[in-house]
Amino acid sequence: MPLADKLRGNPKITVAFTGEGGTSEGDFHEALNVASVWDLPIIFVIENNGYGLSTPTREQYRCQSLVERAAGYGIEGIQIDGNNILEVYDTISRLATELRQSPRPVLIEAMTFRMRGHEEASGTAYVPKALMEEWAIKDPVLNYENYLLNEGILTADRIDQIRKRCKQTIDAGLKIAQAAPELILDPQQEIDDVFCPKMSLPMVPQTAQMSNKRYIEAISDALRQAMDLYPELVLMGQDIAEYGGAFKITDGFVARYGKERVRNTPICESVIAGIGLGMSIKGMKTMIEMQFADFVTCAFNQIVNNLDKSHYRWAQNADVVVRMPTGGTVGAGPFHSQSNEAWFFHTPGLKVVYPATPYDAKGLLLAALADPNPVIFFEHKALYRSLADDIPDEPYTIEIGKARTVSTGSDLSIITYGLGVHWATRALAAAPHISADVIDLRTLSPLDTNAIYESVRKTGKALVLHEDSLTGGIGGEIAALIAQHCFERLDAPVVRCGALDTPIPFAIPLEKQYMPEARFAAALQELWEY
Amino acid sequence: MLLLRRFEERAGVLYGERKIRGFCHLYIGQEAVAAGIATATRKTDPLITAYRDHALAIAKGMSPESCMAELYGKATGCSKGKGGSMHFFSKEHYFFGGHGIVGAQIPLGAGIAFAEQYKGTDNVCVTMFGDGAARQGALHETFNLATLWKLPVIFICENNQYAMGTSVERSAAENDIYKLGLAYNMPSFIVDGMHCETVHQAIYEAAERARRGEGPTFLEIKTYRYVGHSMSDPAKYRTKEEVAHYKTLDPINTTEKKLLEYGFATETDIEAIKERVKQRVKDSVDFAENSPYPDDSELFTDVYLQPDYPFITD
Ligand SMILES: Cc1ncc(C[n+]2csc(CCOP(=O)(O)OP(=O)(O)O)c2C)c(N)n1
Ligand SMILES: Cc1ncc(C[n+]2csc(CCOP(=O)(O)OP(=O)(O)O)c2C)c(N)n1
Ligand SMILES: [Mg+2]
Repeated sequence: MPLADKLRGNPKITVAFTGEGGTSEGDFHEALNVASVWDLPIIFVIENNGYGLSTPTREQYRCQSLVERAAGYGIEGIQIDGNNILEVYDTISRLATELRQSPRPVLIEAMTFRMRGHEEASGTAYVPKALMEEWAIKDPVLNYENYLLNEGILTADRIDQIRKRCKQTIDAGLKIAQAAPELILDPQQEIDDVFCPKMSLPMVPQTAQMSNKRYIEAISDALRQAMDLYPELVLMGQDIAEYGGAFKITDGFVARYGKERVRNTPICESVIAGIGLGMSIKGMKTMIEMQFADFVTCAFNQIVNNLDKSHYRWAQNADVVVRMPTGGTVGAGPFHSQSNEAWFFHTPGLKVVYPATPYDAKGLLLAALADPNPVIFFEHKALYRSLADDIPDEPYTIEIGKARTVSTGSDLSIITYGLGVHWATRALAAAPHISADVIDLRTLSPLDTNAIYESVRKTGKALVLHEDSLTGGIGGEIAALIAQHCFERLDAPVVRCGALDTPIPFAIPLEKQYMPEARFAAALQELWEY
Repeated sequence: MLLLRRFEERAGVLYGERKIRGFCHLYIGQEAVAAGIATATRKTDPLITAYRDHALAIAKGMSPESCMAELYGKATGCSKGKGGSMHFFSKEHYFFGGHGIVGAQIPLGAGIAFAEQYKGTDNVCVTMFGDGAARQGALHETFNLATLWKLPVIFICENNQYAMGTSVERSAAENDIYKLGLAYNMPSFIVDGMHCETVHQAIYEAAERARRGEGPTFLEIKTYRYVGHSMSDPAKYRTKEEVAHYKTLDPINTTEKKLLEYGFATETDIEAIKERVKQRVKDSVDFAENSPYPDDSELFTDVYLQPDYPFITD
């Protein structure tokens, strides 16, 4: 959020709270580091209440106080008495003024104590009695009350009135809550809450001008045009500025759009994904480039717990596109070749897009960037420079959630996406006796089930092909859907063809055998003969 | 150091000839760090690092043959051809990788150290990462636990001043990475990484501290890579002068000069070393060239520590 304010010149500051227990998480480190390197106007407040659930601070960290952490980031750290409202007020209001003038992060550790259990079911048996008594004396309400009495600002009568008014407010609230009807689950409402429905109009090219572009250039094209279309769009990723990105997709972007909008990030995928949601809260759009799709694991928590659920929880969309250079066949070994679309396919609240051609790559990326919801956008590395197409020069969108029929036939249906589309086409070219529908899903979530059913009902046989390993892959879901919805029209069992259930080996001959293409022609022939 | 340098130079050439595929991150310029670690620690002290791992593996005693064969993706490679450049591994040499996900090896290093502590050995785990990796949350979680539990670990940040194209100044406001360690009450120092003696001294002291049960140390070792981040990086983000300056500090030249100056070796000795190294590198290439690729039957081996994999078969 403070990044959005800073970019827009809003003199606002953000205050982010955590318990001292939360500071042991890696995100704490990443957030402090990024806030300091980007000079973000943010006050991080640690409410140090002595315990993370039942774990006392001496079992959480060894340093004396958590403000010591600030030194590692070259930022200011201030410890305050969190039970003294005046000290809190003075410190924060002074900082707020300063930070509005010159943006920077500050770390506050407010020392306090929780007098009840972690939550109301768990009690406080693990807290020594003496400690409870020590902190009871420091009760913030009581002490402030006494202070105001001593200073002659409040009288006993006035305090009584305030207490009564508080009670009345709470009672009134309680009454409303108790009078509210039981929630009745409306499945449609539940589904409707998952995604933000505010979609923009489709874009069609204004001229018929086309140019021959490779897959990678189609992606660059879409990003450049989106940067022109949306002044609120910010690109974030490792080495994407002067270096142009690991695959040179944003080469030349800094010169044109500046470093504020084409942001190099430190290596901290998690906090960057979190910043995506923060920016969205402030009405900005972000594109986050994973250097390789494999590294999204580091951002997993933010994507599958925050970006995906914010709309369902509080009608806050996460206007974020995560670009994922994915896939193997390039001899890149086990951590730079993986297919992980199934994780996101399984997560409600995310859209998952996976184009197989330059034309689709540009149109779908522009659609993803237009979409107010979080989109995980897969780009196959092996296609980057191996595939070119005539595509419109002007911006255009392809509807997310619509499959494409690559070729039509009558014997069977091949349902696939990504590199699978090209494998299927190749295999069919080598087997001219087989007449098949090839369906390129293009979008995995939402899935174009109609396109699948229509084709399978026509041919009566289905072969689902994907590069990802077989077990738990998207093919299983598609096969189940076909079995349920096309059962009466099936002439053969639904067949899946995927990679082996192993990590991806480095040696080229092994990787070839790992990939489903090694088994696809046989599977195709077998199903055809069935 | 010379063996590490010549091995890497050769690997670079072979990559250019497309004999080595995938990625290839060279260590050239940083050899004094590997040398200092090798002399200041014991054979049984585990070591774990990121993807820039060839030289450290050899420094840990792995044979250049098994390393070169791994670069080729051959069955005789230290990871049976399944890992490649970034994922060397040899339990017998206490070398625990070779890791491609930036920062992900840091918690593993603490885990290895915890096992050593638990078993009551006095081994110390050397846990290495780059300046770019220091920004990952995994570092923070690990530093916190390692200091809390006083684990026998030496954290080494090889600060070669760049994470791909991003210089340290651009990835953090506080350029002194060692200060991160101070925030955990961990003894933390800057070390000149262009001299193997200073590296040796710092590592030795850190190892002794850990062996005495006094917990982890954090060393920011200032070093420099002469070449691009990987073979596909022309490193346009640095000036010629900067690279030239560091070349005058070359740890191998410095050491050679010193050996002669103090009479530890004669010109003839040095020539003999150079000849031996040349031959060893050549042998490793021959070995890799003549080794077979892994057999397809290797695909399912080693996925689990049990023989009946895959669980689901048709
Ligand atoms: C990632 C994660 N791990 C564990 C938990 C379970 N949990 C909830 S609160 C809590 C303690 C947090 O302590 P602290 O940050 O000090 O906050 P406090 O409750 O004291 O305000 C734990 C362990 C969780 N919600 N999320
Ligand atoms: C989680 C993760 N993010 C990004 C990458 C891509 N990547 C590989 S190396 C690298 C730079 C790392 O720099 P540094 O830690 O300084 O090590 P050096 O290469 O300088 O040895 C990046 C961004 C990765 N491998 N893993
Ligand atoms: Mg570096």
